[in-house]
Amino acid sequence: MFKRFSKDDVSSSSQVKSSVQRGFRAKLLEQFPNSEPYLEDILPKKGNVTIAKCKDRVSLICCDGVPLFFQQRDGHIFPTLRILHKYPNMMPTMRVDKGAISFVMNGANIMCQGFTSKGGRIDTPLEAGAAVCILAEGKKVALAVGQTTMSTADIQSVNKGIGVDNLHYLGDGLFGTKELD
Amino acid sequence: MAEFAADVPDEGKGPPPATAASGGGGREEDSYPLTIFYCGVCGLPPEYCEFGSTAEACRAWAEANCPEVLAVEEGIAGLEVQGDAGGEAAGGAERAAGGEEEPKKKGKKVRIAKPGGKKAAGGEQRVVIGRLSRNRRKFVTVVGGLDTFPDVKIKDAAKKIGKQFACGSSVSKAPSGAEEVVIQGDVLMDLPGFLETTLNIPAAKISVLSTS
Repeated sequence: MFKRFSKDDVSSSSQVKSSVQRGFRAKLLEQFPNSEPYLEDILPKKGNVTIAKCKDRVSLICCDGVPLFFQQRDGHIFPTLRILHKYPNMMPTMRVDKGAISFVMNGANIMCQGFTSKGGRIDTPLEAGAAVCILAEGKKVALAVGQTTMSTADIQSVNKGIGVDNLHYLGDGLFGTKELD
Repeated sequence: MAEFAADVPDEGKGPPPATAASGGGGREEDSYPLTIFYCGVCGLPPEYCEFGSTAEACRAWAEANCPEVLAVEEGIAGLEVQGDAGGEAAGGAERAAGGEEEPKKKGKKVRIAKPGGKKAAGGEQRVVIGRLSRNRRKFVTVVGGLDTFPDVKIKDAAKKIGKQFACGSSVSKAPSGAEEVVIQGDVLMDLPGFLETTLNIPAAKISVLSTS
């Protein structure tokens, strides 16, 4: 989604009303209950929250110009990796084996075998369509952010094809964009 | 989530505090946000450097700046991957423009070309100022290469210039893709001084193209 992303892909960026901000906070809490104690740190009430619209109906939620979350259409909200690195336990995690890292960092979606092989691990049972943080075997910080395309039970039983859509990964355009103007 | 609790020190520069050296021991539940430390060359977390396109440069950087991280890495190293050269290059250029911890990268220079195919200035850091005429008697002043200076925010610079010279000043894209500041009005003579004093650009790095 963000492979070639850069600042120029932002078509418009606008400040959001405080009511929208409130709604957004509520949505965050609903989707990431674990983030509750840190929400004020992540998205301070006093901060200058903007929404940057990009192509494919992706919007980036930024605070003081720093992209914090992204969302496609009206779907699930995902944190950017930089946020996830700071607050690693806000999302459920899945771990891929070592061999998958290079592919994931090239933007590939993650195949089931990556999770079911020896180095992979599925920590919590999840439904299809859940937001998940992808870790890698032997590494400490998150590798990617994705969305499951099948439930974790299916990943284990079917064990074929794409298990998690890779939305945002280390080294992609969004990761390289530390700040928008 | 014990593996997360490994605290990693301040972004970018400076040797990490001792806690980071243990790399996995310390469990600091309450100290969120964790301070994550990214490689100064490729911008990835150091443990993923080997997957980037500049693995060797990263390694050298890590040795110079944070030997502890390398020590932790020793056990894991092994996979040598080319990585996404294309994506990395794009990311690199961006980061250079965004400014921060970028300066060491060679071969990723941002080329500055003047509009209308005028002479392009190479080199790492160089501001090129030129004047173009409009309608024969009106002029615009074009400043290229400001994006090669990491601590200059090009948009802010444009604004400051506009304010100083009481004229329109905007950021626009050169055909080559580099960003340049276009100033409505002929400020060719006054601009170098202003760049020096306000934006801290050394005079030696400013070149003025005599108008043709």
